[in-house]
Amino acid sequence: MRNDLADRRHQRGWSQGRLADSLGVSRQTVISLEKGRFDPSLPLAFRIAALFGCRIEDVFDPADG
Amino acid sequence: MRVRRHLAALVTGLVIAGGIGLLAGSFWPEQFWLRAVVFAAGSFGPAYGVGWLAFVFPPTADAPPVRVEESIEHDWWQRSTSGSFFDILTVAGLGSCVLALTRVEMAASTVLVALIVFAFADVGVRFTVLRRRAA
Repeated sequence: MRNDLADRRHQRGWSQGRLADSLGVSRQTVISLEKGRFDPSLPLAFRIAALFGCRIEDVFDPADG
Repeated sequence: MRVRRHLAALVTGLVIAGGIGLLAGSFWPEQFWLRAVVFAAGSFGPAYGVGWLAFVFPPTADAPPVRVEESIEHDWWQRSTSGSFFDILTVAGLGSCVLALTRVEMAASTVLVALIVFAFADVGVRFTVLRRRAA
C-alpha cells in the first residue's frame, strides 16, 4: 500500500531504526512499509498514525494498493 | 566471558551427544561402543546447537522488537511455514502414490528423515525468497 511514511520520517529527522523502535517493530518492517511492500496490521497502522499525529488515511493511500 | 559461554555450549553438546550415544548403544549391547560413538558423533552438531542457543546466542543477539508479531519477519515466517505445509502434503501424497504403484518398500525412518529435511529446506528457501524480494 502506497504511503508517505518516508517523507514524514524525513521531516522529523528520524532514522528508520528510530522509527522502528518507536513502533516496536523491526527496522526491516519500516523499510518494507516505506517501499509499500508490506501492509501493516490495523494496530500498527493506528500506532503509526498516532505517532505522526494524523489519521491512518493521511499516511496510507488504499487506492494505490 | 565469551570463551566461557562457548565452553558451556561445548560441554552441553558433549553431554547431550554422549547421552544419545549411550542410549543408542544400550539397545545393541553386542556393538555397544561402535553404536555409541557413531550416534554421539552424528548428534554432536545439533547437540552443540542446543548449547549455543542456550549460552552463546542470548547475550550476543540483538533484542527482538517489542511487537514481533507485527514485524515483517513474522509475516515471512507465517507465509513460509504455511506454504511449506501444503508442499509437504503434496510431496507426501505423491510419494505415497508412487510407493503404492511401484510397490517399493522403504524404511519408515528413511521416509521420515527425508520428509524432515525437505520441510526444513522448503521453509528455508521460501523464507529466503521472501526476504530477498523485500530487499
